Amino acid sequence: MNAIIKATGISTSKKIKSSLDHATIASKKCLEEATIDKNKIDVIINIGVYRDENLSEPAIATFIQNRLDINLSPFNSKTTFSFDLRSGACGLIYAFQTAISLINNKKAKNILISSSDSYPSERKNKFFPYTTAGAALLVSSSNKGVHFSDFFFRTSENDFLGLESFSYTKDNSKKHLGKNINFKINDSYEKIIQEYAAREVKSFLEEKKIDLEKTLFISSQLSEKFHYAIAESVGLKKNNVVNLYKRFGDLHTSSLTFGYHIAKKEKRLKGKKHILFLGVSPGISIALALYKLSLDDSL
Amino acid sequence: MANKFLKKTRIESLGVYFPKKKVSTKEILDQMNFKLPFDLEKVTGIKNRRFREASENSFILASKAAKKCLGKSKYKKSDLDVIINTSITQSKEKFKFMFEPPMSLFIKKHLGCHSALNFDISNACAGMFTGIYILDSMIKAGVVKNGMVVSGECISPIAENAIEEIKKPLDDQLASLTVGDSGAAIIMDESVSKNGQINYIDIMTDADHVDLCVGKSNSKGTQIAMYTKSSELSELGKKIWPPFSNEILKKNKDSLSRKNYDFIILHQISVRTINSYLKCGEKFFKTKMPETLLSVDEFGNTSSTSHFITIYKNIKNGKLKKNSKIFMVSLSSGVAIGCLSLSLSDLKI
Repeated sequence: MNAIIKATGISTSKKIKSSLDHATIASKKCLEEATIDKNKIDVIINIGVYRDENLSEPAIATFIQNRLDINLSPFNSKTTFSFDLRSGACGLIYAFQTAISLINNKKAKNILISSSDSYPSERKNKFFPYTTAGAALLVSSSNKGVHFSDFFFRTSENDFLGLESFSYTKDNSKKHLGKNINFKINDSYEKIIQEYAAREVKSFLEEKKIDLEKTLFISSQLSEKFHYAIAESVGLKKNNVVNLYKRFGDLHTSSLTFGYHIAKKEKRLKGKKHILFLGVSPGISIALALYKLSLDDSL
Repeated sequence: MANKFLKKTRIESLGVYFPKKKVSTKEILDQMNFKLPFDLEKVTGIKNRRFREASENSFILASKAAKKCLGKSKYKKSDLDVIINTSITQSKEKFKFMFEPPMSLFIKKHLGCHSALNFDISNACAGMFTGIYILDSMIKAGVVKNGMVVSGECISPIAENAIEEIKKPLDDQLASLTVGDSGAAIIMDESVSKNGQINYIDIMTDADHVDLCVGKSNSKGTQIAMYTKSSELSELGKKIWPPFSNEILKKNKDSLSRKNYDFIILHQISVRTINSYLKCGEKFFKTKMPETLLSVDEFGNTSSTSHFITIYKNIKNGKLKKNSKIFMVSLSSGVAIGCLSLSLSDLKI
């Protein structure tokens, strides 16, 4: 798995309400940080779930490719492939695995993974549990050893979903289906998914035997306490946890990219050997990626 | 030392599900207040399509296809490593479009494949192609040994909206009258013989034309709709599919001819469009195209499932057999264009 996280970008302006605008801005910043020719992007994967107007096709990633003007003509010698991948806040981990598979098969060298979530009407909605923001991360091939060393995915076998979000495709009420989403959230969702995640992270770490003192924990953040509670139950110290919730709230599909971005900017990778990424999603599902830091990451 | 990435994948099994309700083009036209000044059946070559029963939705169509696919496979439900759902439509009840959890999770739980990874891909009509592209790489990279790509396309609501809203002959919703519902699922694993394998697959996005076909709610916000600039999309398709395919063929030291391929399957838009694409192909490649296979005449444009509905139909009618070599071209909104060279395994349907 010869791939590295080359750069990240985030979009946080509260004035911006469009999920596509956020994803595009974050992607642009990411490419600027990477100092890479944008036409070297082989694949764009968008992992956001909540999009403008509840658009069902084409893929949001194609709009990002269009707005960033990346290999637009099919008659160029270089082409780009864009698609959306959806797995809630576990999306980034699945996108990592997809990116590495494409890199290992020489299908791609540079994969841009974008994310953003917004309420489709672009109005603030009190039932929308996520922060409107965007993030982007560039995964590139590397000959400097294995960085993504392990992946781990689990889904509960029972029928408890915890959270369901949907719109009605034929809606005779006054709600405009292109502008509304319904959320059904079980009161116990956070508690149940926290316990489930803690159990699974613990079993993963027991097997991996990594130095927890030198491991930074970047997790989905359903509340101020959520990520700290999981860290504590698996033996990770509080100061090894990247806390985003207080500043940003629940960033959902952008949480893990934000976590990496903020940690790097605040030089919290220094002295660390690993990052443990944890995404959690309704269903209930968890996804883990263990990322081995290089010396360059710590600078 | 053997290069572990030289291995090929194959389609190990195929399952397809059609709703029972058959709807003719005449029945569609009879429901419209606006009378089209041309014969839609003659223009498209589409005689019939299937529409879901009241109890059916994307989840039901996908699950039924997935169960059939597993039933024909050597794999048990506990053997599946990953399930990738690739449908555009995500209905879980008749009018309920899901965002979370992903549809692949519901399918996984329904099948009882609890240890499988699951995620959804959204890439318009190129959904199953994109799923195959990713799964092919995952198997070759050793991330998984096998997996299912599945799609339940319950797309008839856009036709129902078009029936109500079309008010002019070249309306942007005209293409919505051609769609039909279906489910399709394939299981992929490592190929055991060159006579049954995916020889190669490649795909790219011409994002300069991202707005030629858009799926979203109608202007009143009461129903989902698809808005297509059909003639522009068709012209673009004719222009780009031969040179793009040629690049991929050259990269794989292959050529598109009757000598090399038994059949060609294009995205099932309409019989007329497919024929015009083939003419462009003949002109570009300066040779007769392989025999084209169709399903659009009987099942309409089934969006992301269309190539696999076509394979199913033509295995059933005896045209496709073990070892048949097929060149498949996907063209979808985005605009995504892909090529897949397939040597057909011994699929039981």
